[in-house]
Amino acid sequence: MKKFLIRICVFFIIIFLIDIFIGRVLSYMVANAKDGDFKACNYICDESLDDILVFGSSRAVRHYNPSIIGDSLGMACFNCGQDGMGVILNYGRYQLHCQNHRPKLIIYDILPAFDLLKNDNHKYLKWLMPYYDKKGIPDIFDSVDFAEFFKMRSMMYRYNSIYINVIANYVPTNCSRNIGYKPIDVSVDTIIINDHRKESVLTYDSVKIAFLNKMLDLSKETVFVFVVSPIFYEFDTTPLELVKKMCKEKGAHYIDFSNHPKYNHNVSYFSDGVHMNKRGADEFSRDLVRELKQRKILQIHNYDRKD
Amino acid sequence: MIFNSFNFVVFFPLIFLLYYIIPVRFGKARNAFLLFVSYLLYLQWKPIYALFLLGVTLVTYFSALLLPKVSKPYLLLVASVLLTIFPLFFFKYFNFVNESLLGVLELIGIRWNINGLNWAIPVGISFFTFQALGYLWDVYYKRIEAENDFLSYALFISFFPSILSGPINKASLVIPQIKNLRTYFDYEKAVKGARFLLWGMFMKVAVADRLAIFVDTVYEDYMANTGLTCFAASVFYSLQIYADFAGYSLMAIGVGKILGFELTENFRRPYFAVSVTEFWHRWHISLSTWLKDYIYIPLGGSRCSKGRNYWNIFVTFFVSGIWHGANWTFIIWGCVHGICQIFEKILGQQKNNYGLMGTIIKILLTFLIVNFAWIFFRMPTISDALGMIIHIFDISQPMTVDIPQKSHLLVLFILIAKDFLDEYYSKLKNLFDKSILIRWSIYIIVFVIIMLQGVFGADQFIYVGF
Repeated sequence: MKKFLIRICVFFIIIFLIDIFIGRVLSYMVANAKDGDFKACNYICDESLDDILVFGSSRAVRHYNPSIIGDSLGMACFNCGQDGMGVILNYGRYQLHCQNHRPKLIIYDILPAFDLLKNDNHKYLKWLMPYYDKKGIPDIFDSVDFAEFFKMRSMMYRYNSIYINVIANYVPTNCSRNIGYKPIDVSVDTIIINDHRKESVLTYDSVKIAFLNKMLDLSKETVFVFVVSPIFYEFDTTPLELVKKMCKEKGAHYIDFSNHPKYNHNVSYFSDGVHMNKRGADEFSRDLVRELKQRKILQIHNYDRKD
Repeated sequence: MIFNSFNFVVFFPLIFLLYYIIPVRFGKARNAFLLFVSYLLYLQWKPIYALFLLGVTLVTYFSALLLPKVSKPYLLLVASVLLTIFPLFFFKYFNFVNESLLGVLELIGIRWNINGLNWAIPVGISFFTFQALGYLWDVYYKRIEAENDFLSYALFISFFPSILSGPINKASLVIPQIKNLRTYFDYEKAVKGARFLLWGMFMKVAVADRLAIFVDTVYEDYMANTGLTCFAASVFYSLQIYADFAGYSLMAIGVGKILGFELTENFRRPYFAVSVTEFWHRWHISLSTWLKDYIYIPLGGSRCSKGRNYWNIFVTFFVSGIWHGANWTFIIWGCVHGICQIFEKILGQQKNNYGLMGTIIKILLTFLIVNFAWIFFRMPTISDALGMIIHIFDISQPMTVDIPQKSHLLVLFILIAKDFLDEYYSKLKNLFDKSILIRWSIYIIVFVIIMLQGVFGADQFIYVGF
C-alpha cells in the first residue's frame, strides 16, 4: 500500500513539473504568436485601437470585410470573429479589449445557436483559456462551470485542444495569412448547398443571455449593432425576438439581412448554406454600411466623421 | 459515478482511503462500506430510482432462495423474471411498444390515443436487471447455489464501478470475491487497475469525446456534407463507440482492481475480428456471454438442426438489438449482425482460412459490415440511416473529405497502434514490464495527451443511455 501511494505521489509530482514546463512554453508561444488566431487574439486584447470591431462566429469572420466597412465609415475596423464561437468568447475578448481602448462601433453578427440557445458552453471557453490569468476572465469561467476553476490550476490544460494552433501560430510561415477577416474564395460552380435544417425546441440559455446583457452594459458609450447577416435559405428569426427586445431596452440597434431577397437562394454569393463567399461578403459589407448610414446610427451618437 | 467527471476525481481517492482504513478482518464492514457507497452514488442520479435497484435486488434474492424449496420452480422462475424485468420494460420499452401498437392499429383503421411516458430511464437498469436475471437463471439451472448473505448479493448487483455500463458480471465470478476475505491490498492488482484507469480515460476523453465533436456535427446534418465526409464520420463513429464503451469498461475493471476485485473482461480489440461471429467474441463480451448462456443455449444453441440453429442465432441477436434500445434502428442493427453470422455459418467463414492477405481482407470486410450496421445504431430513424448510407454511395458529389481537426488523427493513431501491438506483437509487453523507464514514459505521455487533447466538459458515456 505504502509503495503504491508513494509511486502515485511521485507520478503526480512529475506530472506537476511537466505541467509547469509545457504550460510556460505554450504561454510564451501564445504571447509571441506570429500568425493566425492567436496573433489576432493578442491584437484584439493588447494592441487594437480600432474604432469599429466586428464580433461573432465563422459567419462574422467570413461576411464582414473590414476594409470596406472601415473605408466607407472613415474609421479603422477589425474583424474579431472566431469560428464556432459565440457570446461567451466574444464578451471575454471585448472585456480584455476595453481594458485598453473603447471602440466607437460594435457590429455583432448574432446567431441563435451560439449566442442565445442552450448547448454545451464549455466549448466557448476554448480560446479564452490561455488568457485565464487576465483580469475578469476567471469570472467568465466560473459562470459556465465551477469546476473550471480547478481545471485551470493545470497550466497544460489551458492549451487543451488548441496546442497545435499555438505551435502553428508561433512558427513563422513564408506566406503570411491575414488575421481577422477570412474570406472564402469558392468557385460558384462547385458549391453544394443542402437545406437539411431540423426543427428543434427553442430553449434559451440563461448564461449566454446574461453575457449578452453584460456586453451591452459594457458598451454604454459605444454604438452597438446586432446584425443577422445573409443566409442562403429562409431563416427562422423567432429566437431573435429576445434580441430585439434587448435592443429596445438597452438602446442598441438591430439589422436583419437574413431573409433579404438579394441574397436568399443566390448561389453566386454563397460558399455553403450559411457562409457567403468573398463576392457575397463584399456586397454585404457595402449594403451594411449603406444601411448604417441610412439609419444614421453613427450620427445619432455623433460618431460619424465623414458626413 | 461517471469516471471522467469532476466528482470521480474528488470522491474516488476518498473512497479508496476510507475503504482501506477498514482492517481486512472486518470483511463484512468493508462490503457494507462498498454497498453504502454504491447506493449513495446511485442516489445522486434520481433518488427515487434507487428503489427499483433495491426492488430488483430483493425480488431476485428471495426468489433464488425459494427456487430449490418450491415444488414448481419453473412457475416461480417465470413470475420472478417477469417481476424483475417489469421496471426495465416499463421505463425503456413502454413508449416503443405503445407507439408501435398504435401504428399497427392505425393501419387497420382504428384510431386510439394513449399518451407515452416522459420519464427518464433509471441509469444502468439494463445492466443490473440482466445481471440479476443471470444470477436467477444460474440458480435455477443449478450452476450455482442461492446466496444467503443479502449484503453480499446486494453489493454484487449494485457494485458502483459496473452498475452504470457494465460489465455484466456473473455471480459465480464476483460473489465469491465479495464473500471471501480479500487480501488487504494487492499491489500488482492495484497497479494494473491504475493502468487500466489511465488507458480507459485516454480512450474516453481523448479519443471518444474528441471524435464525437466531428461525428455529431456530420450525423446531425449529413446532407450538408460530402459522401466521403459522411463515410469518414461513420468510421470515426465506429471508433468512437469502441473507445467510449471499451474505455468505460476498462475504467470500471480498473477501479474494481484497485479495490481488490476482478471483473469480467469486456473487450478484446474487436476491430481485428475476421468475421462478425468473431467480432461478437471480442465486443461487449459480458453481454455476448449473457445472451449465449441465457438465450442462445436454452433455445437449443448449435446442438440441433441447421435451420433451428440459424433461427437461434437470429433470435439471440434480435434480443441483443432490443436490449440496446427501444427503437427499430436497434432491432435492425441486431438483425443485421444476426443475419451476417448466419451467412458466415452457411459459408464456413467464421474463422480465417486464407493466410495473411485473407486475414487483412476479412478484417477490412468485417469492419465495413460492422461500420455500416453502426449507422443504424447511431441514427434516430431507419429513414435517416438509409438516407446517410445512400448519401455515402452517391458518387455525383465532390470526392472530398472535410475533417476540421486533424489532431483527431494523432489520438486515433495511438489507439490503433496500441491495439495492433497487443494483437500481433504481444511479446513487446515484456519490454514494457521489464523497463520502468519505458513504462513510466508511456504513463506520462498518455497523461499529458489526456490533458492536452481530452474533452472534459463532455456528456455521459454512450452506453450509460442503455
